[in-house]
Amino acid sequence: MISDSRNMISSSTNMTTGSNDMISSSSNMISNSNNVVSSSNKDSAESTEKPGDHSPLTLYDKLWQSHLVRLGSGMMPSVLYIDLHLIHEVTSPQAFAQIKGRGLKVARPDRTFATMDHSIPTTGRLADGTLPVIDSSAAMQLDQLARNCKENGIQLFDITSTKQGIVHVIGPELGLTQPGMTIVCGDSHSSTHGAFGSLAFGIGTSEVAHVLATQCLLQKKSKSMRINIDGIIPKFVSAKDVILYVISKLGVGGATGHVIEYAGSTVRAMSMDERMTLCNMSIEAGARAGIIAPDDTTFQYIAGREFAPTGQEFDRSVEIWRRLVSDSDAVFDIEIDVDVSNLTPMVTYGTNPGMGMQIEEAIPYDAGISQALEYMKFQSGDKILGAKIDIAFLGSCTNSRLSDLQAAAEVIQGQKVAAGVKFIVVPGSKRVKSEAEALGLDKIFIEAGAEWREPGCSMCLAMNGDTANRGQLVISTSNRNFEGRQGAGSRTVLASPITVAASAIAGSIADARYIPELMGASR
Amino acid sequence: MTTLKNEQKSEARSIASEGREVRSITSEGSEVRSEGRGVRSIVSEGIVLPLDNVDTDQIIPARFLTTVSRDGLGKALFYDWRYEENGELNPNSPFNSIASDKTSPVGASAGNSKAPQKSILITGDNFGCGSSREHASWALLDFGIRAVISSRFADIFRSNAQKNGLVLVELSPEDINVLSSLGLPIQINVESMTVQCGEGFVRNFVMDEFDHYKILNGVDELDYLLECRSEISDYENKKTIDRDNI
Repeated sequence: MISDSRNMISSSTNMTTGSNDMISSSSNMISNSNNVVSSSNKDSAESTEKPGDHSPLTLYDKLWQSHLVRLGSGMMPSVLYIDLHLIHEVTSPQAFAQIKGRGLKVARPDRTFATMDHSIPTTGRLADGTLPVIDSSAAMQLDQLARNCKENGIQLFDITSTKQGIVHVIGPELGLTQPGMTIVCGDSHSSTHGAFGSLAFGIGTSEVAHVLATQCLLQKKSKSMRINIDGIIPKFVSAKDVILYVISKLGVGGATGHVIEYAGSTVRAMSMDERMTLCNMSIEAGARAGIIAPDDTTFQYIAGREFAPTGQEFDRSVEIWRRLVSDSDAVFDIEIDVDVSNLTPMVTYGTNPGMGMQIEEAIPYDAGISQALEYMKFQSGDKILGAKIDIAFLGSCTNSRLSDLQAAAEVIQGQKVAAGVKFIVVPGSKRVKSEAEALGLDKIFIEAGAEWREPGCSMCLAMNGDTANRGQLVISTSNRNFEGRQGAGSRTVLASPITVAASAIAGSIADARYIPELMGASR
Repeated sequence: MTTLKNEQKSEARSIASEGREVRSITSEGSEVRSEGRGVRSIVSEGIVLPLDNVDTDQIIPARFLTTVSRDGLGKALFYDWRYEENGELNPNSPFNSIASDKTSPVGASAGNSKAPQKSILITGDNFGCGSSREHASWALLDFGIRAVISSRFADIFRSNAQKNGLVLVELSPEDINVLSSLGLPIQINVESMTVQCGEGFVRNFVMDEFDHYKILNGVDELDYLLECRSEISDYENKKTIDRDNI
C-alpha cells in the first residue's frame, strides 16, 4: 500500500502495529533513519529569508515570504500580515476585551468576518421563537459576539443570516477563502482553508487580539513536510479515510512544528470538499497547517462565489494563483509517499486521532494504548467492526459539506436507521442545508429515521448540548476522539460519512463494502 | 539575562516596558520569583501526570468554554480526571493529592494562601495537543501551575502558554522519568535554563531565544506589533498596488 521506493512507511506488517513512534520525532528521523527520503537539515527560516535568495521555494516558502511585513532577525520573529481573520463566539470575547481595555480599535474590520457555530443549538427555534441556547453563559457569549461585531463594524453571520454556518465551511463557500492568502481563526481546524493554496492556521485568543489590533502576528517559520498521495481511492473509501490513514502513520504529534503540503495524483483528482477534509485534519498530526497547491478545480470552485473576484479581476487573479506551486526542485524537511490504491475504510479505536486502523484490522498490542483502550472498553486483538453503537453523527468542519451528505445519503437511501440508534445529521452551513434540501437529501435522512438538524459544530465538541451520555459509543465523521470530546465519558470512533451511514443502518460499526444492498452500487 | 545581539537591543527594550521590581510569590512549599510580569525561577514539588499526548480537551473540557473572561478557569482544570461521575473528587488524580481542603480542591491565583503547594506539572510527550483554546493555559495558571515539564509541546499550546507567562521546560523522556521518581522539590531556574532536583539531578534545557526573553521579562507581543504600525500600512499600500507580489 505504501510505496517501497521511498520506504517511509515501509510495510504492512509495521503498519498494523498502529504505533505512534514511526514518526515520533522529525529531527531524530532526519538524522537517524533511512526511512525518510528526501530529507534535509536546512534551516527553513534561514534558507528562505535571505534577500535575493534564488534557491527553489516550496509553496509554504512563497506564502510566507509574500506576507512578511518585517523579516525576523536575531531572536525576533517575523511580522506576518494576515489577509483574512475569521472569528466565532468562543475564542474571541477575551480578545475584544483586551484591545478595548487598551483603547485600541479593530484595525481591519473589512478583513474580519464572524459567525456563530460552536455553542449554538442545532434543534431549531422553540414555539415561542426563542433559541434554546444551552445556558445563560453561552447566551451571553453569543450576545457578546454580536455586540463586539456591531461596535467594531465587523460583518457577522449570526443565527438569522442565510450565510451562517461552521466557520471553516462558510469561509470557502462564500469565496472569502482564496489562494495565496494568509488566513487565521481562533480554532485549530483553520488548516481547512489551506486546501485553496492559502496559509491557514489556528491561533489562541491572545493572537486573535494581535490580529484584531494590527492585522499581523509575530511568527517563526515552521519546517516543511510534503505528503505525496498516489493511487485511485477504492469504492466506499474517501478522503476522510486517506487522512485518518496518514495520521495513523504519523502519530498525533508526528507533524508537530511542520507545515504539510499534500501533493500527488490522488490529491489532484480530489474535489475541493475532499481537499478540505484532508487539510482540515492536519492539526490532528500536530501540523501547523496543511496546504494544497491550487489548480483548475480550485479556480472553478471559487468562480462566482459572493466574495470572489469577478470578470477581468478574476482572470487576473487566476493568473497569479497559478504561480502558487512548490518549485520542482524545492526541498522539504520531510517527504512521505503514500499509495492509497488498496486502502480500506478507516476507524479509530483509541482516544486520539493517531490511534486509527483499517476497519478489518484488529486493535494492536501496545503498552502505550492501554489507558485509551480501558477508556474505550476495547481490547487489543479485537476488531471493532461489529461493535454496537448508540449514536451516529454526520457533521463538523471535517465532513458536513454537500458531498459528505450526498455520500451518506446514497448509503442510507431506502434503508432504516437501526433500532436504538440515534443518527444526527448536521449540515455545515445554512447554504449546505438548503442545497441538500433542494436535492431531497433531508427527506432521505428523515425517512430513514435520522434527525435533520440546523447548522453548527454540534457533537464535534458537544458544547451546545448535543452530547452523548457516559459510556455511549458514537461513530462520528468529526475530527477528534479525545476522552469526553462528545460528552463526559462518551466514546468516539472516527470514520467517514459512508462508514457512519453504513453503521447507522447496521446498528454497529459496519463496512459499507459488505452491505448487501450496496454491493452493486455504482459509487 | 539573555544576551541580545546589537541590532536587537533597541527592539527588545521597546517591548520590555515593565518595571524590574523583583517580587517573590510564596505559598506553602512553593516559590515563584519574578520581575515585573516575568518569571525568574520556580521552586516546587512536581505533580506527576505520566501520560503522553495530553490534549487540551482534557486540560479544560469544551463545556467550560462558554465564558467571556480569562479568570476563574482553574476549577475546570482536568475536570473529568479530577472528579468522579458523582461529582466527588477522584482520589486517584495526582491533582487531588495536593488538595488540603476537600470542599475547595481548586487552586487559586498566585499570592493566595490557598494556592496549591505544587506548581510544577511533570508530564509525558506532546503535551497540549488538539484544540487551540488558550483557556488551557489560563486554567493551568489559575489552578496554580506555573511550569510544565514535558518532552515536547504542541505548537499552538506552546504559543499560548508563552503569552501568559506559563514556563515550558523540555527535557528528554528519560530525564522526565527520573525527575518523576525523585519526589523532591524541583528548582527551575528560567534565567540559566536549568532544572535541579535533589543532590544529583541538574539538567540544562533549551528555549527559543525570544520565548526565553519573553518569559523572563513578561513581554507583551502586542506592544511590539503596535510599534510596527507604519510598516504594516506600508505593506498594505504596496500590496494594493502590486498584487503580483504574492
